[in-house]
Order: sequence, then structure tokens, then C-alpha cells
Amino acid sequence: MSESESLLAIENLGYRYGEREAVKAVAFEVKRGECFGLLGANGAGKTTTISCIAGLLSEWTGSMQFCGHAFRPAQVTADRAKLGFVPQELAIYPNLTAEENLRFFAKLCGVARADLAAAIKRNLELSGLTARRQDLVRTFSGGMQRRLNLAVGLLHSPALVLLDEPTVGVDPQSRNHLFETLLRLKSEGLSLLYTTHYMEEAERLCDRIGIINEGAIVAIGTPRELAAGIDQPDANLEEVFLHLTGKRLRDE
Amino acid sequence: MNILAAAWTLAQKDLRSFVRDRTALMLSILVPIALVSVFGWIMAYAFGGSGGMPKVELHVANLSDSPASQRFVANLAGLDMIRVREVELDAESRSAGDSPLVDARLQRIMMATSPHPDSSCRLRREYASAMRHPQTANASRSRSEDGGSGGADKRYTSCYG
Repeated sequence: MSESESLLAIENLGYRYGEREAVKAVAFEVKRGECFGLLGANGAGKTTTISCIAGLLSEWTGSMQFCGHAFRPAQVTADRAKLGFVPQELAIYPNLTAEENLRFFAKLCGVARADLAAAIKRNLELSGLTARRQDLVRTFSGGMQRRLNLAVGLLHSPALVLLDEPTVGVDPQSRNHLFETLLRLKSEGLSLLYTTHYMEEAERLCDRIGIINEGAIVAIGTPRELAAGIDQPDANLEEVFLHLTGKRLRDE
Repeated sequence: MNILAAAWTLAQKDLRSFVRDRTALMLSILVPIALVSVFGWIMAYAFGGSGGMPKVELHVANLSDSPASQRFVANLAGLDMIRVREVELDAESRSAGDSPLVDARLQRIMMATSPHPDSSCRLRREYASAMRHPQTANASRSRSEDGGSGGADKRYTSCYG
């Protein structure tokens, strides 16, 4: 892989919550036009990792590079503007309409006034909410709110979109719509960093997967490479995951 | 986006969101009105229903006939916050037992006296002593007015107490 293919490179990333080390020496890279998946159990460190990258956490150790340049999203606004962020919790306003939500976030993300209407129209179509654009978000179903949450993250045409478990609490139809939307965006050249603990999501969507366990990356590769890495070429992703992370229940 | 434009965008969003939130509207408009009404009613009831602050009742015993003391009492009566009630504190009224000093109605008293008349000075000393040592003053007064019998004057005591 040449340097020019790497969009985001994370080296030796660490983060502590007080005495507890949530992320330990995490290292991976996301290539241009790739969907990279972070697969881990609850409490494995996925959200902490993605929060460091999104600039929500600032006291991390290690280094990040974006297009070969130092990347400090917590300190540099221009760095944050390169990212789209779709958080695990819904980050939209229930008492605004879908269109008002998109307009509000587009303005905050710095979308030019001339491009505002086109960006809102494009993302309403992308999320399948054009017909409901004037309705208050509190009247939407969970799946519709998830789709709008995704649309907000795409408004300013970022180079890389961070998706933190975006399908939590979503019905199969809305989940399928989300996948189709993400696959279409990927085919258009958008890079994605996707965290999940659902194996089928990772298999369907991700080109490469990093398996994270107790704050550390334990394996990285395509699903086929991961299976080969445990000497079980026919193993599915769930078998690989359980082999690498164990069957012990996780309580955090 | 500069900070003013961002603040305006946030304010617009918050205003829209607030206006559409009926619970927030109720809490921020109707509840304060209800609280003001309830506490206003309670306060008006507590202060006699007149609204506003009650006047301070001030008993004035003018023991001097000088023009200065007359003007002083008149000026006091002209103040909004004070209701002046002139009282007599001469020896006859005290012995008759109908003075405010001896019937427990008195809360505040201002005595305007001549510079040296003996009666005024005696009364002032007696009153001051009573305020410091009610029981002693009571006994002393009882002795002097009851021919030294030492009997307790309950009304006099309750006045100073």
C-alpha cells in the first residue's frame, strides 16, 4: 500500500478514564474509498477510539495523521471539518423538522449559503425522508431518526465518515436502507470507519476489519485474512471473533 | 462561520425548539405566574391584605410643648412608612392604668421631652430602667405607687416584658 492510499493513520493511540485504560496502543489505517470496521464487544473501546478521532476526547496519547499530515481534531476546527460523525446516540433535535435539523447542522458545519438548499435536498433524498421533511422529528420512527442522524453526518461532504454503531434499535428495513446508502456512498469514493458488534454488518459492509478486545486491537485484515490467521480458512467472522476474544461474558 | 453567526443559528434553533415544547412553555410561563399569584396572596394575607409593606406604628409621647417638638411630631406623621400615634404619659394617666405603657399595647415609643423638667427626666429614667431590668423596675414602681407594699403589678410587667 502506498502512502497516498492512506486517508487516516492511527498510531499507538491510548486513552485512560482515570485509572482504567480504555484504549491501549491502538493502530490502524483507513484507506481512501474503504470501509474499515472496528469490531468488538460492548466496552471493548470502540466508542472511545472513535471519540478520540472525532475530537470529542482530547487527552489521548499516540499520533494521528490525515492525508499524511498531523491530525488534531480536538484542537483544530479545520481537522474536524474533514470528518462526518454519526454518533451512537441520536444527535438530532426532536422539536425541529427534518429539514430544519439539516439546515441547522449544515450552517454549523460551514456549508456555503449557495449550497445549502442542494445539500439539504440531496441528504433528504439519501435518507428517504423527502416526503416527511416538514414533519417534526419527534413524530418519526426510530429507523427514520437513525436515517436522519446519518444524513446529518454527510451534510458537508466529508472525506471520512465515522459511524458509531449506527444501526442500534433499527428495524430490518431501515437497517437495509442504511447499508444500501453506505455501500452507494462507498462506491462513490467516500471512506468509512464503522464500529459495530454485529458480525453480519461487518461482513456485509467492511473491506477490512480490526477486532478490538479490552482496548487493544488483536487482529486486522479482510474477513478471509482473519480466518486464515487462526488456521481455520472456512471459519465465519463470528467464529474468528470468538476465537480471538474468548467466550467470557463482558459486563462493561 | 464566525462566532456571531453561529450564536444566531443556535439561538434560532433553541427558540424554535422551545416554542414547540409545550412542557417547557408551561414550566417557564404558567408556573411563575402561578407562583407569584400564590405567594402574593399569602403575603397580602399575612400583612393585612392591603398589598405592599405595612406601616410601622410609632407611639409618640410628646412631653414638651416646644415648637421644635411639635414640628418633629408633625414631620413624623407626614412620613409614608410610619403611622404616628400620640400617647399621653402623664402621671395621672399612668396611675389610672389606661396608658399604653401599662396595658401591653405599646411596642415602640418615642419620647420628646423638655430639656430639664423633673417629671420628664424621671419618666425617661424609669422607662429606660424598665427596659433594662423589667422585674426590678416593676418592683420599684410597685413599691413607689403602692406605698411600698411590694405587690406585683401584672399588667405593668407584661408591658415591659
